[in-house]
Amino acid sequence: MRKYSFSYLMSRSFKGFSRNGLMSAASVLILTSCLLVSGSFGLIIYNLYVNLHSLNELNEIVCMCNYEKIPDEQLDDLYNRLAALPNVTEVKFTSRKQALENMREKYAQHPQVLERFNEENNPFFEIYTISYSGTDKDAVNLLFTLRNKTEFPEFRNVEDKLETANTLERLKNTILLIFGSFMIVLLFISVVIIMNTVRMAISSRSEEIEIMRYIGATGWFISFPFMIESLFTGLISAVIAFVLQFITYNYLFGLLASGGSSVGIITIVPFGEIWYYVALGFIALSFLTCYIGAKISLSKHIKV
Amino acid sequence: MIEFKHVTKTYRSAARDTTVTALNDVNLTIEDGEVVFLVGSNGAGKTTLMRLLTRMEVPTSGSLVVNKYDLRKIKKRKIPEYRSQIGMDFQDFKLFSKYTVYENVAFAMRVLGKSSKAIKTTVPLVLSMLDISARANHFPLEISGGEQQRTALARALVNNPKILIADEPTANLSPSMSREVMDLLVSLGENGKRTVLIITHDVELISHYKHKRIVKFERGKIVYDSKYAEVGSDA
Repeated sequence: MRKYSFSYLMSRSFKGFSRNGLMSAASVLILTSCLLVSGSFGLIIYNLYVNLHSLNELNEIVCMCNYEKIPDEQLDDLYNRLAALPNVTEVKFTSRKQALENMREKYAQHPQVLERFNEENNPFFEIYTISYSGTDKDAVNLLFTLRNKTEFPEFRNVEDKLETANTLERLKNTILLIFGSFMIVLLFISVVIIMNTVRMAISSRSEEIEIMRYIGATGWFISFPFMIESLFTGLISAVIAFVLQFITYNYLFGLLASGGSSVGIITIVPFGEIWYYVALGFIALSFLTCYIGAKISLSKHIKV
Repeated sequence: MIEFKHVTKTYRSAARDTTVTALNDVNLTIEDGEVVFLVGSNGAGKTTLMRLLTRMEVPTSGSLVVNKYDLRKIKKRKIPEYRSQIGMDFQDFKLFSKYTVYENVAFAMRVLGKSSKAIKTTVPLVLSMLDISARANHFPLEISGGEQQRTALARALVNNPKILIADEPTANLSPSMSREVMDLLVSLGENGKRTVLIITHDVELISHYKHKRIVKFERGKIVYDSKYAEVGSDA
């Protein structure tokens, strides 16, 4: 049983990496670019998913009552009638008083804006927020019912977000398809590049490999440095890509968010909350790419 | 023991769409501890024979058994083990220019997974045996051709192989150095513990070893297999 010194094998690997400096640098550059593009797509998709979670809020219809004061019994009756409608999953009632309180909380830093309003002089009105399930057709039917003045004369306005929800859903599917396909193509290119780099490294050391074969080296002993070199390329690429991703993400999304964490209805996830996913993703992706590329090349070009 | 039985090796030339026969129905038996000169002109089949013996190539037909290893049927994982019993000395030395003499020799032991302790003990011994200890820390380009050949020999011998194959060991050496290296090679097989195969086309040089076996190849066939003293200048 042959016992190889781990430190010797590792030193051979790193010597090989530095010996093929230019080629190694080229593979690092290309792999970093691929990781960066894949990472950017991944982050966009992730942010999209986070926002799609809040898409449930788009399955809501907001019904605003008339200005005239409605007696409590009638409000209760209205609540029950709404809850009994088909496809309604939840009904949330916000009183005039609550609406005013909510506004005061929202503008707590500018109390003068709302200071002239009180319970008697309240510009708000009762609101019923209805959540629903079902198809678009069910949603349209529900809207039609709620906007029917004969059936619900208490409402002065009924607002929905159906169009926005549909647009976002279509956008999500399109982005996923384009980005998904692009990521697959990029990964394929990365594997081919690694294969080629390993092939060139093998060819530049063909004489050394031949001597090793004559002496009695095992395929494992010959291949090991190339595999480690390849994985090392992957590790360096992952680290560089991570740093660049951190900078670009913070910069670009910082611009979008103008220092905050949301732009309109879009929520941007801060990098600090997802950095470990990005780091793990980069390492896993680069190692997998390098392993597959090296493995294919080694099995093709190294014979015992 | 090395035993060729009706060994034929052909190569397919894709460019010319023809088949080239490098060895043609070769029968050859070499006993353990023999020193044999394999001679012949270019294209006679000597190098093919060497590549078959080191299992770099597989015979197209026939049987080749070396030290109980059937080289046509040997399993892939057994090939390194088999090769570790053979020491190869190349015509162009094939030394690593970035390694010192010591490192070049130690490399052969590292390939076989020998411990650092064993390397530290064995390499100086082999260097001393081949009289190149003084050059241990020199790089191949800093030493003479003869010393490079000795270094290559030290690398071939450091794992104590049962068979030593020297492929045109004197091709790149001066006549006086050639004689010195050839004497050294012949002496390595003198005690009968190691089989030494010397591939050469330098017939004049082997005339000094009259009682050694000579196998002459021509166009892939053995044309005679005898001692120099018996064939004389026909060799």
